[in-house]
Amino acid sequence: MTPDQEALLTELFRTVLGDDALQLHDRLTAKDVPSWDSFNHVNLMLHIETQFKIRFANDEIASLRDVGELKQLIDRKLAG
Amino acid sequence: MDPFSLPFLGAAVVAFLAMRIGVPWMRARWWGLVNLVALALAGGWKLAAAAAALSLVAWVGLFFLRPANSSRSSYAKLLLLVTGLSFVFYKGQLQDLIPRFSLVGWCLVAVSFSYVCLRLIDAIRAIAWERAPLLDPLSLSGFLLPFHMLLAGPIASYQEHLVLARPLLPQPLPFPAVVSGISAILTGLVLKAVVADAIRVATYGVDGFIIVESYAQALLVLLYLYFDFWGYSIAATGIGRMLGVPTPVNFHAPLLSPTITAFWGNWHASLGEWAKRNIYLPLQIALVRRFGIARANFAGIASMTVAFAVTGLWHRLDWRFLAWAAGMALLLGVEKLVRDRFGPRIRRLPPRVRIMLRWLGPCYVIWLISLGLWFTAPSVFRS
Repeated sequence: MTPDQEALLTELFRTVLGDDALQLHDRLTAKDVPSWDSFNHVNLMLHIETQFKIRFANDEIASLRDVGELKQLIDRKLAG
Repeated sequence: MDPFSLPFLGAAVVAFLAMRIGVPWMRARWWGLVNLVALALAGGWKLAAAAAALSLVAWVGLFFLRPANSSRSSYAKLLLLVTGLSFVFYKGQLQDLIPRFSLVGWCLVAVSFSYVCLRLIDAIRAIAWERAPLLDPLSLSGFLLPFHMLLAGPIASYQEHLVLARPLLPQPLPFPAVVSGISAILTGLVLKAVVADAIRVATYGVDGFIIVESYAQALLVLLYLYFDFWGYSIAATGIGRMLGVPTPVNFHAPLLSPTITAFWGNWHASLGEWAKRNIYLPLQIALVRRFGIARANFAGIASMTVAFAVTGLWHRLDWRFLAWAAGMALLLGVEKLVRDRFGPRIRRLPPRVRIMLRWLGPCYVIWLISLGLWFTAPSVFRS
């Protein structure tokens, strides 16, 4: 993931989860961010789809465990 | 089939010993066979035969969901519809209308028996939309009708069960798993037969029927249900641990939850996870994709309401449970609103105030959950 893509991802997390100070790292999970509930998780993933012009399968949205996995998934989708 | 009866515990011992044997089979298939034997020992050969027949029928239905089938999605929706209708048929006690077709009635009862129906829906979704591999009929029976999770859950997911699709090797005696399994079974027995039954006997007498005519009774019945259900679940988890069969933990101290949202993640957690996997997330994703991210809040609340309505109706096909489900979804929506609006401010409150809120949270949860129980009790408990 390029620095620009990382910055865009951070921006999306901050906007959707309403936390301007949020710092992304690979081990960050929903349990670490109070506003990252299942309700916001779907919104977040669909915002990522729109901004990165990719499409996730339902089970990919449901089974993500942390930010590191999400980055890898985005990279795979962007690669093809 | 009482999980604390001698035939059931004997079946558990036989299953445990059988799962230690190394045979040149996949673990899931061997578990399927062992499970049918355990069902026969614990509930009689008719139950085992019905389980085998049902699994075969379900397998034939699922077979056509394989990836080569281009109309997989439509077919999966049809299967979901048939499963759902058979469930309504059973829950609505409509099988009494066709007594002459007792075999058909039997099959419908088996398909629609609560937990089997939920597991079948989970398998349909996983195979149709997640492209999970289809297990063979014997292995499928071990997922659909596991003897230790048949009566009161919990509900393992189809994907979780697939970890058993690997070769079975001779197993050394897993001493820690055995100790923790036996400990869980004994804990379950104490919770069910001592704590839950003491509450019931103290409130209604030895042979008394459970009825809820006052709020105080609703509170006591909530405690009774909690210990009774937790007892069954913890025993099932212990047996599952000893057998090496995925058996999720169903209760995480729900009565200490600070919010109703947290409560439903902690009470009958495997049902909550089932509803999230099979109803809430697919529906929310579909609605947001259809109506746009601008309407994400509407999509979230609508999906939550439908998920609660289905789980409510799963308990009883009844207007009270539908109203209860709508009330719960509304509460969760309000909690979500409060969390989004005031969450950061609440987290900045002085520690003393936060400690007070932490104590008040479970009181609020117990109050509302027992109110809900009081409301739905006439549908469940009849003298």
